[in-house]
Amino acid sequence: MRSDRRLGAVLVAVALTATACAYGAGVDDAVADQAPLVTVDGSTGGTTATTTSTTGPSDTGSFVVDDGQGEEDETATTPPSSTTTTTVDPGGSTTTTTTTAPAQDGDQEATVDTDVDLSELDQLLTELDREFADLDAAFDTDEGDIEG
Amino acid sequence: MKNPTTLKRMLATGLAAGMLLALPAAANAQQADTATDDQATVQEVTPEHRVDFDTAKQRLIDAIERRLETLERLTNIVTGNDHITARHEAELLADYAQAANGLRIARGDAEAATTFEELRQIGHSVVVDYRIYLVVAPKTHEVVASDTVVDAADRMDGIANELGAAIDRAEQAGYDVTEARRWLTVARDEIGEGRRAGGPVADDVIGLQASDYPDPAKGALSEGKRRLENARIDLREAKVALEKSYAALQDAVGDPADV
Repeated sequence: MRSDRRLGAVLVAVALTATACAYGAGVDDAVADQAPLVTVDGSTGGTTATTTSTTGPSDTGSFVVDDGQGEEDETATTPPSSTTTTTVDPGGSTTTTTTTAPAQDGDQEATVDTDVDLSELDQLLTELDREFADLDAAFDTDEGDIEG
Repeated sequence: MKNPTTLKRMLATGLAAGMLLALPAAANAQQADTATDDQATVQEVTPEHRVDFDTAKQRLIDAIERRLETLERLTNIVTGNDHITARHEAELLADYAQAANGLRIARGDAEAATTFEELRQIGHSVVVDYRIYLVVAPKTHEVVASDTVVDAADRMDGIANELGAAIDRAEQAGYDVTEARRWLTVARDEIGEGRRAGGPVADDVIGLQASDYPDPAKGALSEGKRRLENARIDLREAKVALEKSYAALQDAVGDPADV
């Protein structure tokens, strides 16, 4: 009987472990490739706990944030390649999440639109030249076509 | 020895030929101080230059026709021009219509003329009362050129504004646009100079009439042409400055492909 109790205790432990593993695996398949890096900042009772989670480019979906306070874990949704700061009040009832998307490769240096079409300048000068050619010709003309 | 009747006939023929040859010369003589006006050759009264009445009449009619054709050509130029203002166009077309009406009447008079004196008077009127070649045509082209200068300056201002906005954007992004802005200032100055030089010419000359020749028409037209030439130079320099400003902007942002 004693060994049965031990076996039972072992089985319970295994079951609990399996449950815990299953829970962990079920967080989100999408985060498996790069799980959130969870750090805990000042997570002591009675003070505001701040958790910073940095995710990778392919991270999507929900992330479990454990601030170490023992209350129910908080869930935050973060966009890819973002830094999320989740602030949980000591009681765990209020969560403030700030998400900042870092600059992407294309955003590292803003493109300045300096496009100006100067082709019209040539056209303008061409038109001007034509008018002046006519003007010059007009000054070369006289009334001398009435001849005897 | 020729008899008196023959001598009278010879004398009459000589007088008639003299009048015919004097037809253009008379018209020109009244404007002798205008080197280019009425440059009809003052012919020597020689047998080879003598023409009969019908030939003289036809030449006068042809001269009138050429003026009417010139008015039609000027009408086409004015109505087909994209730069001339509506007011200037209307004023010029009114001038042409009035001149054409008078010339058609002159053509009818010439066709009905029966004497050399009539032809002479009509020929003189065709020249001095209309001045198609010495006033109407040059003033038309000065008006068109003047309005073209103003329109070109306006459009260059638009390009300068676009370029200025691009320079502002580049500056806000942190690029050094000193050179681009300097050339843009030069361009704006040149555009302004061009407009000031050529813009007023149209109104200065459009009111000139045949009766204003030679003075003040000659002086006004010469001055107008000089100012228009200056305006043309200014706008050419403005174009160069705009291009240099743009090139400097490209250099500043570093990648011409982006621009």
